[in-house]
Amino acid sequence: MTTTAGRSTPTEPRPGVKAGSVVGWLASTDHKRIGLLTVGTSLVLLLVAGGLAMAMRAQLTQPQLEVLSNDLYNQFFTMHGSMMIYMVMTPFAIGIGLYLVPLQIGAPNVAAPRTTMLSYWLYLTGAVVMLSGFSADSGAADHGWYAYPPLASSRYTPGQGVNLWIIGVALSSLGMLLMAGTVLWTVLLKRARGMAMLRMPVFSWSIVATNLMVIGAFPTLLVAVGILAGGRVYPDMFTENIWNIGYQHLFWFFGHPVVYVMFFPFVGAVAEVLATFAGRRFFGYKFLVLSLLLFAALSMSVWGHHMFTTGQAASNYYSLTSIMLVIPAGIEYFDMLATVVGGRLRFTTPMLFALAFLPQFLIGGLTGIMVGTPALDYQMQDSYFLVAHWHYTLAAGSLFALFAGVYFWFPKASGRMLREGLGKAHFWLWVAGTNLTFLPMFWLGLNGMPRRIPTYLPRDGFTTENLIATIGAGLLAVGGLVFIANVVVALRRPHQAPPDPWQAHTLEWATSSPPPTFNFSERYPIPPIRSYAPLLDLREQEQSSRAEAG
Amino acid sequence: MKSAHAVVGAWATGNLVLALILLFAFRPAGFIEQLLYIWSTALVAGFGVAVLLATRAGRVGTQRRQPRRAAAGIFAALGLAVGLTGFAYGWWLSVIAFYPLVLAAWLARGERLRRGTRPWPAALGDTEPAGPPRFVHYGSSLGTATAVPAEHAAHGPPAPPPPRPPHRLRKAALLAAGARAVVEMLRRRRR
Amino acid sequence: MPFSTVFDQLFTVWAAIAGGVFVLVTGIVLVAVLINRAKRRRKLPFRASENKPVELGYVVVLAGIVAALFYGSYQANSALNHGKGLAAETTTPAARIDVTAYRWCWDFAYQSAPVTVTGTCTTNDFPTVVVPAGQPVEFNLTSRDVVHAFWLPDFAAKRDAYPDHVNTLRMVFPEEGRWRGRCSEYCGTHHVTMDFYVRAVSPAEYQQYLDSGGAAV
Ligand code: HEM
Ligand SMILES: [Cu+2]
Ligand SMILES: [Cu+2]
Repeated sequence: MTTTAGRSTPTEPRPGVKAGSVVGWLASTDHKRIGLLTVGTSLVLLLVAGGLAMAMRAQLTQPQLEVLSNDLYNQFFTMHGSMMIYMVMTPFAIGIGLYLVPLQIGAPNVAAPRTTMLSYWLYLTGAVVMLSGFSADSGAADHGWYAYPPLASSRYTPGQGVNLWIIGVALSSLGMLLMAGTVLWTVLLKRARGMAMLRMPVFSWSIVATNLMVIGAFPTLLVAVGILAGGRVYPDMFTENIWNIGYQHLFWFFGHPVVYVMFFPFVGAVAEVLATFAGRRFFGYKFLVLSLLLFAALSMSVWGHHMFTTGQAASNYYSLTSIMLVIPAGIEYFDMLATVVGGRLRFTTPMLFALAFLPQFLIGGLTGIMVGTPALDYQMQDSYFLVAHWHYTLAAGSLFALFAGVYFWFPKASGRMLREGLGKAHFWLWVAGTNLTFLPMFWLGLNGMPRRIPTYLPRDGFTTENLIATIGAGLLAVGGLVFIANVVVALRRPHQAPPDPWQAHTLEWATSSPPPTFNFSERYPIPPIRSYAPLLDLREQEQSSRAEAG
Repeated sequence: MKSAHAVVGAWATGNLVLALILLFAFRPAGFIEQLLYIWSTALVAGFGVAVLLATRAGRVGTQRRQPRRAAAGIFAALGLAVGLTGFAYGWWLSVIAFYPLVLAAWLARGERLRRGTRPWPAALGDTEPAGPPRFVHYGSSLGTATAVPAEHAAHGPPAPPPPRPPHRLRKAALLAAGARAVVEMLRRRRR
Repeated sequence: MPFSTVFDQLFTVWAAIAGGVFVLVTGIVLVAVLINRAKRRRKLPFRASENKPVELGYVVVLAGIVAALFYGSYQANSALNHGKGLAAETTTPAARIDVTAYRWCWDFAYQSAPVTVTGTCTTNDFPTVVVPAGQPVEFNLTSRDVVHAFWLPDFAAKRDAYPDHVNTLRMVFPEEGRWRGRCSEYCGTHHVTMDFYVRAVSPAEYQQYLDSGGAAV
């Protein structure tokens, strides 16, 4: 085919793959499609992991129930935790960055899109391999999401489930490492003209911090699961303490940063949502950026707080570094609160989720200081107090922020509006459900209920709290169904989304919904970039010129 | 690229300082901890150096050269997955994994577009025609400015229909309401 | 100081601080939600998008809070001898007990007498370790297979038990009584029932217990 200058060919000039076909999606080189595949896959897996949680909650409703056998319960909590961490929250965090960051920095695509697609496929196959453990004779892995040896060695947990778990983790974390690398490369090198680093939106900065942590920490996970794989072949190596404690150090060296990988992009999303619906510039941009980077760097130094009871880690040092996290976290809260206090608030569904994030995540953060204090952790570690703590950070915090982001960016990605009524129903069900589920767990922990137990006795005195928790989990399930209904309705009976339905601030709202292949076009050009809120600049300019004219 | 240097530099120094605190203020600390610090700082710093080299090589700014398909990525991932599954089900699986990997390597070359070509639609915001049009390989070159078809998403939502001329009745009603408003206003003034 | 005393004191302070911060932040959010509704406000309450002096001052305050919190954490952890319990230098334990965890029960062996206690950790066959009340007791924790943890919820004391490694836990049981201990590091199928009991008796009774070779007291 030849084209001559000046003559326009209105038909698609590309033979072979059709853009909208299945292959067009699965072999796409468009960062938006790869991002949506990643995010969509992780949301489907959220259903799977959530389903496992519901089964566990059913088992724990009353003492001595027999919904699940010991071994099945153990597989369920292992797969629930592993799926949530390796296959849901982490991929969502990195995938939403892949979708949004090129748009926000005015780049036509991610750098190295084919490597990015490779990473999606690694993630997908990893998830499938890990889940396929349920079809093995031995059942799925049941050593917990951090797979401590010697328990995870072939001597104490024989069978394919653990092998498949190791392979799944290796594949998908390799994928996430690659994806984080290409996105970070894009941010650092491929920004549009005028988009200086300090004009990037808060969300893009949160992705910079996230992906730096991924690069610093995920290779260590690969080494750690390599050690586990060694123990599958030579279980004798774990009769030596150095391998056991060494594994724990390696694992948590990955394990703490990954907690922030599952947190930063969501804080970034909350910051964007708050600023948009407060109708004002985000307060304290520079301090926030600095605090994110400080937070990320510091996160590499706190891993030992998971090992206070091992007697083999410098507990005071890790307590110091953990408590130092109060500084960046405090700055973030200050800036987010100031944005809310100084704004004109509109209560859309994304805004509600973002506002609820503030107090709910705070509970997780404040109890985090408690478990970061060795003298308290000696009691709280591996009890339901800890279960409550991290579910407040991850479920009541990050998951709420995740849905703030989903409700916020769904119109951009799909060109359809979600229904506000259903969104608000989802929100209120989840506020009630989340707190009913996880608040009683603090009391359970203080009363001595260990985590990872499939049942308890009537005389233990754990019954009431567990009953409340299960009722709350039921509300969570109903809320989840409402969300699915919302998506189905939005796709079946579309309400078309304009380019900027929210009066938002950042570049992705300057282009069409959904954006064209290379994000910006003649019709939707990149607006001039003079700050971290270019669309707000335009609006203010318009207003002032109107004021002058009038 | 100054801020990028600052990011990576501050990261590395910050962690170095913390590692020194660990070493000197909180003895006895294990050698594993120190090794982990060095290793992760090296990883982040290594990425920083790679960014630096790319900057030096001028690979900065909007990237125009794009691949047109990522089938090689799929095959590479499948190959890796099958190969690693050999750990569970026997290493003979890695023999099978060999084929998708070779296929991926073979596909990888062809998927990259020639310099100066981009797949359809050629609608990059601030693109400038880059000299006379060159050989086109599965796409349109930057010089040819292929028009985006009318109904493509790149055009955004269709323009809203022009406002309908008001119906005669409605016109009359509007007139009446307008007159009322004027009268009302005048009355108020008088008071 | 005993684990539980340290825990109770510190937890009270920490919970008070956490409660204060929570009420403050939630209060600010709620008040903002009430008075900053777009319906009620025509203009932004304030337009500034940064305020360096305030933020810097706030960082200094935060640093102060960090220093205070770490001081509390450090003091408490020192009082607990980094989780080992009573400092070894100040006291010689009246009882030294080797504890071996295994899947899925416990062995207790007294160092000063040929007395061992064990059980199967199935219905009503849980090992009971007898200790002298009011005197320092030392547990030397190790494991025969995987990682376990020795947890006495009523005393806020916990220490992991590793194969090829010994962790010490020293504590005083201030009064006579019987308490449940549990394994708190997940170790497989019957982790949930891996319980034991600690029974503190008067020193005289304890001596009698050892002398009789572990007969019930
Ligand atoms: C949505 C409602 C959720 C419910 C009802 C729920 C419930 C549970 C339950 C009952 C356990 C077992 C606790 C134990 O026996 O120790 C558990 C463990 C866990 N959950 Fe959740 N969870 C939810 C959401 C999440 C989310 C969003 C995440 C993370 C992103 C998450 C991460 C984990 C992890 C890491 C574990 C530990 C697994 C292990 O012990 O190895 N959960 N959850
Ligand atoms: Cu941590
Ligand atoms: Cu156990």
